[in-house]
Amino acid sequence: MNGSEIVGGRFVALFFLGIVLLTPPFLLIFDRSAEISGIPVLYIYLFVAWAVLIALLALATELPKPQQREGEGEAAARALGYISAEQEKAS
Amino acid sequence: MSQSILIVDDEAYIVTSLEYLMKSGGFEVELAYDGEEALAKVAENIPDLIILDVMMPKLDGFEVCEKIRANPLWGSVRIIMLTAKDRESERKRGLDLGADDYMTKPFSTRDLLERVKKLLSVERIVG
Amino acid sequence: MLQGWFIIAAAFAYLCVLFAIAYWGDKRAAEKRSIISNPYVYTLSIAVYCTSWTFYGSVGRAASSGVGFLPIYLGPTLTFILAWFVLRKIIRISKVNRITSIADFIASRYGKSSYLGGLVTIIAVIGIVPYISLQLSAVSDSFTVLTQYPVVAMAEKVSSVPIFADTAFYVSLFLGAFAILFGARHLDASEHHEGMVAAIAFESVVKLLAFLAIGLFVTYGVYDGFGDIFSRAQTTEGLAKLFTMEGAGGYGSWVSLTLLSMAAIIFLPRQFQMTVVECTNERHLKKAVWLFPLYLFLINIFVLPIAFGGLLHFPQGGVNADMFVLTLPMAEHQEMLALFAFIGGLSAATAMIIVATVSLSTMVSNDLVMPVLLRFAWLHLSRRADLTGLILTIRRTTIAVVLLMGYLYVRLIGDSYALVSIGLVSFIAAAQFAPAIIGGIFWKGASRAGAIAGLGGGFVLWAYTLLVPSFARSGRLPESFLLDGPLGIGMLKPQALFWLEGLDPTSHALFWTMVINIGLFLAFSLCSSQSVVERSQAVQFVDVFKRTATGRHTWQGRATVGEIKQLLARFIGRVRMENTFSELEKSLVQVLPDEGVASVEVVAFAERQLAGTIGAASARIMLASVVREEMHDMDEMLEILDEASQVIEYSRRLEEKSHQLQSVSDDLKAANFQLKELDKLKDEFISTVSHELRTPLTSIRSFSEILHDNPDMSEEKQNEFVGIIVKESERLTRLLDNILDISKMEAGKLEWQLKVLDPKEVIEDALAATAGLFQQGDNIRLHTDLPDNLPAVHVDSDRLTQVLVNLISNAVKFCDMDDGTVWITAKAKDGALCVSVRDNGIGISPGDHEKVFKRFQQAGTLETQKPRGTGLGLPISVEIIVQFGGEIWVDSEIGAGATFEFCIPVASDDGDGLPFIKEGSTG
Repeated sequence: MNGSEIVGGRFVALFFLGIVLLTPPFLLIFDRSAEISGIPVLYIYLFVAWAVLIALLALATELPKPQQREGEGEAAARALGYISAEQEKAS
Repeated sequence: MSQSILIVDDEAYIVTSLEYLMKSGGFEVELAYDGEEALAKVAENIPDLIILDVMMPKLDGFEVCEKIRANPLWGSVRIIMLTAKDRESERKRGLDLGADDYMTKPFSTRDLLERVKKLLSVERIVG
Repeated sequence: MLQGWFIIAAAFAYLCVLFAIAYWGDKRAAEKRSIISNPYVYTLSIAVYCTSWTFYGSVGRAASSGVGFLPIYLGPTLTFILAWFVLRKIIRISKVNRITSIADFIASRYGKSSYLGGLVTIIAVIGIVPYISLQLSAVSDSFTVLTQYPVVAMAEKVSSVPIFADTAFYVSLFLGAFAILFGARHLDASEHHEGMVAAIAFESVVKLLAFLAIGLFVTYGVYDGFGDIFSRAQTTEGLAKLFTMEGAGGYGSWVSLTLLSMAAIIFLPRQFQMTVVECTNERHLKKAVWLFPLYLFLINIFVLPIAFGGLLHFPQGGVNADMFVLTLPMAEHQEMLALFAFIGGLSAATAMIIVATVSLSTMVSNDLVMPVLLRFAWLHLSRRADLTGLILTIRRTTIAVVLLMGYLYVRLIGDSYALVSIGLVSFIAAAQFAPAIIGGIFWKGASRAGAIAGLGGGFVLWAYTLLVPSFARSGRLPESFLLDGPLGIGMLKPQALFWLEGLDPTSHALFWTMVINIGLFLAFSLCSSQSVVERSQAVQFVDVFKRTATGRHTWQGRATVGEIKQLLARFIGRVRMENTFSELEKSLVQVLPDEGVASVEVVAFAERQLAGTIGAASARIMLASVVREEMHDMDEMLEILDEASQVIEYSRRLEEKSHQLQSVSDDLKAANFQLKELDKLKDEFISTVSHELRTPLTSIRSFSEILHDNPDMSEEKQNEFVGIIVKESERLTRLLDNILDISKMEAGKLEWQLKVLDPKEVIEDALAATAGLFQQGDNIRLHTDLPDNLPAVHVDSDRLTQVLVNLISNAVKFCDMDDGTVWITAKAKDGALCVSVRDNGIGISPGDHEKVFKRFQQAGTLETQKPRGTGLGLPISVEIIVQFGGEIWVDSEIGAGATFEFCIPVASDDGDGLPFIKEGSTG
């Protein structure tokens, strides 16, 4: 998979996320007579979901294309703490 | 009367060694350190044989050889080319220009002495 | 204060600003300094999507259906997520094929079909009329409402006032004139309107700011924030139902509106115009992908608060919710804010009208009227020198007619629908283009027959399910038509077709039009065969990202050279024609007899010549006219000419490619030459090295053999010869060291131990190493001038010593044999340390100065008994000094001695990080 395919994949994933978030039946969960600080939950939900979608869209377009380099994933995993020092010693 | 040999090389040590070698072989020896000097020596006194280095300042060995061969008066002079160039094309060029033999440095002193004696034992046929 | 004249003056001033921006944009475009070529202006221009429908209508819809207005903006967000796949491809195709409108796009995809272009144009015009009428009525309503300030009262029913007392009529006239001035002032061959785009972007800023201002005022000025408004609504009877989906019209409507707006954002003619045709750079899309949804988000944040604010403020009704944006500030006596709201609504409406009419007029003139006119031979259109006047007239007329139709629609229908419903009618019309376009760019099998059938069927159903009911509901058709179906046939009820009931009219129409459209499109595509042109266009469109020049059949020349010449002579004069043709013959290296068939080159040449005189579009038509007599079918002619221009395009690319190849091959040649040179140098180097090694070896071998064969040699001679062997062995060793050094340096493999050093110590080391040279013969004197405070340098101590030893031993070697003197001087100069070594020897002629630094090159002859150089000392010194970031040179004349001098940069304070140091460690 090259960088641009990954970017394309991001959009496909986001599109499905958008469909799920913004159409029923997921929407049914928030379609109720309830308020948070006086504001109907449906309103809050729709605008928050929309904002999140736009933010993710911005990230998907603005984040640099992933470069596939050997060992890079491992380095990232280590930085995130997924590979502990002990595991490293063991391997 | 012993035969005379002209040694031409710009390397002083090589000249020194050849001088000793030829003298010990019983030849008369003349020395020259570059091509022009060599031609001057030949004009002054025609040697029987010239041991001629190729890479020299002013005139190189090929040019000296050519000039000697161009002069019919010097037709009897045998020429052994002595050079650090060992490429076949160089060797062929030397022989084409009229050298009688061609040896690559470093050479065997005995071999050289033998070749000198062999060349001097027969008259050179001018062709 | 807010009298009619003042509002008109304010609106007029605003429109003048727009003109100024457009003028500026056009001017900058002419200067090739585009102001619109950036993703932000691009995004704002796409925001032409938000019309007065958004500005006024969203609030109106929210007031009756809660979040029901939102799918119109969520849909585009979803579409833009997929922009990378869909929009990018449409834009690329349009750029490659120089597409000027959505009709052009569809016609071009399906074999350049003029029927299809015409059909699309008709659908677009009829479909967009309701949308335009919506803008007209919004502007006239808002104007009427505002003039009554401070009284909040609604405009009278349009249909009840005579035309000449009708504000909407004057608004139509005014906006029509404005749109003509804006979009059809002059003809731009490229169909780009940079000034218009700049103005539209500006309008997008204005309407957003205006709406946010009203929103903030209502939410925080009139009420106490979002929570306050909604809490109050909660307690008001009848409003709480708007808080859920039920009030929004249910899920069916939600999903169909989402789908509809997903299509509309691409296929509305004005969106296609802005997003695709006016796109200056495909890369701008990347930012617009999230900036445009963000714009939609921002302009929608305050829709609900304003809607509920309005509902709470005017509980007794009587105030059209579509006008809340205007009436709320009016009721609060904020006249300037109300005026700002009016200007915001005006900007939203004008933007839509300008772009829509410009794109429609382009379509009408290029895809509908011109092809029809060109069919009528008796018009002799093709013989007219300049068609721009005609085209402009067509466009201006189109704009006027479209606006007039919009006005009529307002008068006939306007009051019976809310703004949003009218807009949706147009949305569904635009959605009819979706199958033909989406199918066309992803499916090569999509055919012209399929597109015509799908579009035609969809359009007919659109008219039947949406347009006809709108006339019926306004009383222009009998009501029974709707309720019982035409002639009482229940199956054919326009809003319950085939007994499909229970859907809202929009979903109902969307369902039936799409079922028919897609169904016919697929069925006809699968059952019909494509023509050659169609097939090649299909491949070109679908494979736009992997396009090659293959698969195109070449243009078959059918006009004679003589005809082409005659045509050219008509426009550029006989003399000039003869001149240009003789040049052409020269460049083609062939004679072109008049009766010969004109080749592709000749036609292309003629087209270029004509285009230079009468413009590209007219040139093509003119050229077509010459060959038409040979043609049975006009379409075929146009197709062929189109392909001729494609061939030109390909040949231009081929030419570019061949230029590239030429330059690559030139580069290769140069590289090959360099390699050969390097190879030759390497060969020479090896041969020289071999020679240089053989020389001392020869002496060593000779003397060894002599010593071996002459045991009775005098001891004196023996010592002399052994001494020579020793010296020559040393020379051999030195030579080998030097050769190794230089080849390592060249390969960059030499390790440099760089340290910050006091140069004086290094010089003294070198002097100690060469002290022997000065003691040998008492006839060489050494003078040194080494100050104590020399600047530190960042160097490798051993290597610098090596340079100094080289220079000193050279100086000793070449100095005057009887009375030699060597001077060594060190000093700081211009941030560098300079060391010179001078001798009083024979000197070097200036012609040899460069030579001495080359390998195995020594100036002059050497007939001394001193140790000979290796011929590598100076080249190595050069390499070392260069490595230190310095330089070395010689200054000398024959008989005047020689001075070798080098300078190296002084070390910086921290001692490392010097730019000229490539490697090495300081530790």
